[in-house]
Amino acid sequence: MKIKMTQHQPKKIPIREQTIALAMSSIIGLSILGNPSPISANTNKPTLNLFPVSVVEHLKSSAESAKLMENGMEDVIAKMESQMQLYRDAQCGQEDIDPGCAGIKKSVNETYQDMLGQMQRQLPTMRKAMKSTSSTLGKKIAAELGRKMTPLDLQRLIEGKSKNAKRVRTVTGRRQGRMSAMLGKYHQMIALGKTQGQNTAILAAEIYTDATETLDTLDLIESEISRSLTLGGIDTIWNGEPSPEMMATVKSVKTLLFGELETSTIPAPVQPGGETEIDDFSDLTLD
Amino acid sequence: MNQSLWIQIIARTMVSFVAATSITACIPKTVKSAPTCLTPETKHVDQAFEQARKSLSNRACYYQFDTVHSQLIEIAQGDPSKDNKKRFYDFYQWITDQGIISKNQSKMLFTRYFTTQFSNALPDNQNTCSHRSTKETMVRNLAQEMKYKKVGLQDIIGNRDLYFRAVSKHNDLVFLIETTMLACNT
Repeated sequence: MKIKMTQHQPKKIPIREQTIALAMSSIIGLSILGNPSPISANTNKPTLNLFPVSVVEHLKSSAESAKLMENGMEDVIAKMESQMQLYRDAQCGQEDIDPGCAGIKKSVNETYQDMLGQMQRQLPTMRKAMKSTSSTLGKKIAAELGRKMTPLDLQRLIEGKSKNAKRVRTVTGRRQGRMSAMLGKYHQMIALGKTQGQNTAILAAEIYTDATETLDTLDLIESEISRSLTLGGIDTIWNGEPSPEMMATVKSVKTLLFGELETSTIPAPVQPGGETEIDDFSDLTLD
Repeated sequence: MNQSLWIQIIARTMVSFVAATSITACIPKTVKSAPTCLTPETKHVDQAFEQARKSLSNRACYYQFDTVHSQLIEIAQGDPSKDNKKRFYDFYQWITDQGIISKNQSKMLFTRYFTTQFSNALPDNQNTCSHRSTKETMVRNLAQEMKYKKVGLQDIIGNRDLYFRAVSKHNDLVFLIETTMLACNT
């Protein structure tokens, strides 16, 4: 008896069917692997990576250096202001030879010099921290919002913003609190994820703008300090009355560290109430 | 046939032709009168929409769409109500169905006046950095859209909440665009 040995061989699939199967699996695979666009297909909302660890660290060190500077400067500025007030109250004049007036004048000069010296010592640390924050965040914003997204995508980005979210910056763009408090708040919001409905893109833009403006103010203060020093000492600036240069420097330092003191003349817009936009008309609405 | 006979035939034919043309010239012609394309004049919103539909139902009056639309916008401002949003929505649907404007134009108008979206003023063709040279135009267009939204959201449907939401979105957009452009320059 002849036994026919049958070898189990895999069924041959025609090349055409193999090609179709390969094409289909590629399509499915690509759709699973993800959309190359930053806009998610499901939610139509872009995904962002604006705050790498370095930004959080730079913010933290910026807040620390601001705090250090504030602590050092607060007493000096307060002392100088009270000495100036005393000088005015005593009705000391430019040519006054009264020993009391001369004493106050000498004290004001010393305090002012002390302030300039402290600023000069601490400015580089702060500048470095601010520059790092501004530079890292600027690059991230340019890459994520500038090059990956269209202007219409930016609108899609801010769609999810909570109606209760308030900007850290005021309407006028001026900071009204201490610099360390503002930086600390930013750091907390990012590091602890306490954005409280605040939109990430708006938050990044606010931090970047603040860092850039602070750098500009630091430049201004530095040039004011060097001008004060190159003028050949305090005697040429202090002519019996606070000179514009001296006042400008003190004001810049105060604004930088303690924020805008004058109240804004532009009223904040009325916050929207609880009503939501009716969605019945979505078919006639552009995305 | 001789030559004189030919001359007679031609002469008679010409006489007949002249006579025929003279007779038809005397018959009064029926002149087609141009359609009257009236624009809504009433201050009553519902009646205004009715008149607008009636006028635009005539194909010869399609060209009047912009005028009719402006009239409706003006009339509706005189009687702010949340129902106006639905009135305009239905009207835009109707004119699209009539083929007077396209679906996209219809969406553009509805979005412009009655939503908090600024899609009409924001390009979607190139990345944000590429629009650096046209930033000022973009910001101006956003401001113009905001004016339309004031008319639509506040003056026509009387919804100040939505209007303030549009203001807030406008400010956020301008801030975000300007900051992004600044970052693009670095």
